Amino acid sequence: MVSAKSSSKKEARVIVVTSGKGGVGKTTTTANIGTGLARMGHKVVLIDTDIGLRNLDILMGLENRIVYNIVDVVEERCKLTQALVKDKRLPNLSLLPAAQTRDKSALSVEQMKKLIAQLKTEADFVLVDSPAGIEQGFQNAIAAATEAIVVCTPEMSAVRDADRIIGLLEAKEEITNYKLVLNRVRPSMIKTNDMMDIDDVLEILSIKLLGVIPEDKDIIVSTNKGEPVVNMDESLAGQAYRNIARRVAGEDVPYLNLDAPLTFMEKVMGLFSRSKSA
Amino acid sequence: MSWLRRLFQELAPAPITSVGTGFSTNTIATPKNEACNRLKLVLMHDRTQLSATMMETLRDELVEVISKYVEIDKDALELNLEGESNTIALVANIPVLRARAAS
Repeated sequence: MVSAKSSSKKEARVIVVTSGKGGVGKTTTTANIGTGLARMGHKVVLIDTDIGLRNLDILMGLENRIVYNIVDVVEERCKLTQALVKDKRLPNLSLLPAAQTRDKSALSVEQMKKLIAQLKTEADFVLVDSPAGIEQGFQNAIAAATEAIVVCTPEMSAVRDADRIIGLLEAKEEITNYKLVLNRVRPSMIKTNDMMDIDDVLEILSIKLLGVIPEDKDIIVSTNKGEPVVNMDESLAGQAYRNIARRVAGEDVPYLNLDAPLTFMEKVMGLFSRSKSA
Repeated sequence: MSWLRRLFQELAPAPITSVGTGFSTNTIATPKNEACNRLKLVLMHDRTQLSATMMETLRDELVEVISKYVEIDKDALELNLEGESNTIALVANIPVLRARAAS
């Protein structure tokens, strides 16, 4: 993907995907938005900055193709092009994997900036998957970003950590735009007032919404297959991620109706009407 | 003695400083509202968190100002940010030893 041929002089948008709390869906979101953008024809590079705990390769189903990683690149054991792993289906999508046997201190903010500056001229989008936490790994992940996607679930601990992250993003001048992906939303629990709804979270965090992902077993299935859910045409979560990718690219896409269809028939009908409108 | 202090704090008409919340509080006790209300309070705390050094400076300057008028027990001075029902209060407990003689 980073080749001698640099056709466009336009620089890539560098977007960090972050959350504070672990396990809320950062990596899933990175994989799916990245794949979604690539499906639309954009040149996309995904960077896994979770040194020591790499997982983006698993979600992309690329774990067997890794030869070099991001630390090999910054320590000059290989060229950047050698470390980039091409996606199985989409030639315009590639992954720069994290190192698994090192830790967060193996990478510095300066090295990240240098690395991303190299990628910027060759891609349309660089998506940086941030590790959990607010320490070195997070600082590396946001180092060269100018936009951020905050991933959060409608749970108290996730919202609290997201608030902390938003504070840190606000303090970083270079980041001009950050939006929320609310993950694992359960419409049936919202209906019974057992869970915070989308507006609650948006009000509490005072953040703009990029999109909502319903709790969906398709996500688990897709992870097991190593195939981002965005590629599953009939999946609700997949549709939600396809919509988000289009919004990231600048399209105005209406929000999905997540009102949980309770019966199987309703679900089938719902999917039918959605696929017509999508 | 802490129960006594707490009692007096509760009786005290107004805290020294209070920060407005800007949040509305939901009244019906559903799990959703409970989460919202608890979160709003927690975040108020998180957002008004002063660093240890700021807190130390604040404490020193308070002692300096108050000592002009009354003699206080500096070591027993307590200064905390506390969450009330929907405000954050800076609560200071300053034991007074005696008033300064008028100059």
